[in-house]
Amino acid sequence: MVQHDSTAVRRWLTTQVARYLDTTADRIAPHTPLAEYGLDSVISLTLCGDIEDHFGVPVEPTLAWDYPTIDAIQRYVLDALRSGATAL
Amino acid sequence: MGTFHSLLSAVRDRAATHPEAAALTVVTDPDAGVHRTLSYGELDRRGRAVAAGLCATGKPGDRVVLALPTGEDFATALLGCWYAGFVAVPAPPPGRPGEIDRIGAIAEDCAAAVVLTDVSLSTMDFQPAMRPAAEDIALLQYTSGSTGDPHGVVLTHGNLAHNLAGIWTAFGRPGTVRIGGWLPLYHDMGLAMLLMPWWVGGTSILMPPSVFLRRPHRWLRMVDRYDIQISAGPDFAYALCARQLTDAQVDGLDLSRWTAAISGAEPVSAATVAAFTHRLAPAGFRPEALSPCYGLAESTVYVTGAGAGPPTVRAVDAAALADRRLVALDPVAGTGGRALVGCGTSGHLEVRVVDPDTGRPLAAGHIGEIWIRGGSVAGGYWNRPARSRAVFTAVTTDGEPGWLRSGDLGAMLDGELFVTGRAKDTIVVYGRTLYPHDIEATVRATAPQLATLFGAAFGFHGSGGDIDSTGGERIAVVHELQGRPEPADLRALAGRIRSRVAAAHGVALHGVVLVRPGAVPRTTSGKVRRSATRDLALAGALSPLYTDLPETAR
Repeated sequence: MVQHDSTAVRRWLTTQVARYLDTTADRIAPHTPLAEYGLDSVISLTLCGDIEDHFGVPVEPTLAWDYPTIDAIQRYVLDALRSGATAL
Repeated sequence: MGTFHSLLSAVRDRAATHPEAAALTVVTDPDAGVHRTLSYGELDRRGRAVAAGLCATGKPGDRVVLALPTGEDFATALLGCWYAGFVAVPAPPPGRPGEIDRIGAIAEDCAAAVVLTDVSLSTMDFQPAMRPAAEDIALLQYTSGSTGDPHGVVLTHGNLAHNLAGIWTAFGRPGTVRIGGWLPLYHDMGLAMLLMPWWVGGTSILMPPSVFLRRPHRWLRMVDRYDIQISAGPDFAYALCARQLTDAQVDGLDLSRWTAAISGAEPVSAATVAAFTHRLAPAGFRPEALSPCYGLAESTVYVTGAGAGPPTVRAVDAAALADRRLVALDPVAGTGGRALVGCGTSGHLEVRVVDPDTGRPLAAGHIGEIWIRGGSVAGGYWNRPARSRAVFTAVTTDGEPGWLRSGDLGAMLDGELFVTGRAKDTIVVYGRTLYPHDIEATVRATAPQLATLFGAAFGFHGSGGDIDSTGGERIAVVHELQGRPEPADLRALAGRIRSRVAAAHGVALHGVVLVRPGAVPRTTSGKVRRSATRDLALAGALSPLYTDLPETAR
């Protein structure tokens, strides 16, 4: 299994979110709620699919509400990877 | 009723003659081919069981809210309502708090006898005795959006039959009929993806919306793998596919058998048409398959569509547009123009462009309100006589009665309808109609400094209406603010407003403008003038305390 460290996960998440929001990664702060950058319900569902495909962990559709920042999503992903949960 | 061909008689006939034929296939993973199928015989049997259960709890004419996800339960509950003579009311399945509020608002407005959030089949059987009359109410279609003021369009079995026949004439082809998509079934265009194939004894192939939204390529994968000929989506869905699909995903697709890729429910963007057609060309997608359409729930769903040939994209003069005229530019001129996509013609309804202030029919090339007349047009809104009269019984100055006022603006050009905007304040995002006052209420509740003051939410176009604009509507809000907070506090407040609106409505704000009390223009009776507020904000003429409206919007 691929090893993921927190920096790599954060960088990947930030890059994805920046791409969806048509901005650059350096403008996405890890502790600011993504909704403030314009992450809406459609984009957040696409992000769920991407996380499942990239990391192989299951993600609830409410991800962006339960884990509203890059930092929170990164911790969720790392916890899921450690606990060995796998997506369908 | 004898000769009236209803959707219900079509389903019953098919169930009697071909009980094994597939009525509905629900796809949960098109990559792996995971799906469930319901035959016409089983659909009929379960529909009768639902009808038996309903008859034990209510009486014909009672409203039944179908708060059910995409799937067999929705299909059988809908049929059960019709077998028993009840009125079906599609609603979102319970999920986020906003959806539960909306179900409650709908159930209250129509005084529902039953709200179904799951379906248990009665052990009793039910024999549908009569076929519905054309004027019997089949369903209430609540237009998406407002929780504060829901209004249900009253659609009869006759309306449904007329509209489905119109869609079939425009897009149907002989042979095996497989039609479907991923739009929610409480959306008028989503419901059409369920009912259209039933009209002609074909198969509806549906995917839950979340499957598409998580992995947009799965919509196209479903079209290919399940051999779908007609599938509809809003403009944003085509844009999402054009942007998200990887080369490997495109390589694995064969879309050459997709004859009608219907784009409706929100303005069709020229940029999206070009991007999707180009991105999916290697998969065999044919430009003439992309079919821009115009429609609304008040006219069942479908009004006009562009059938044969690739979509008509015309560059029009932006200055003339502001002057309510549609003037086509030389295709190579380019600058100062806005690209508009034609929405075709109507074979089943009369469509006129009318001056919204006087009711005078306008000549081609002049922008006015789109008025519609014919068998698909609903009788009115449920329990809203005054509003129904205003919207559904308009009369032109040449004395022709019985027109539906769409609230949309457009013009005819070379015999084709071009939609240019809306006469009313509603905002369309992701195919959903949002009502400004709902968003304004959320904003107002964010902080005490906003609570008693006025604000205006409005839609605007991303990049100033240039020819390569992506066309998707963006939302901004202007709100009055008490006191003189520090700039850092204002920025933080704008952030909180964005989070609140995203949580409550699922949409992003692309501009927050905070102004002094009294700066939001109002009528003499105190109503907020939203379009005037928008014009001032986009012109940079509000002297705001705080603004993050992008420069490109101005």
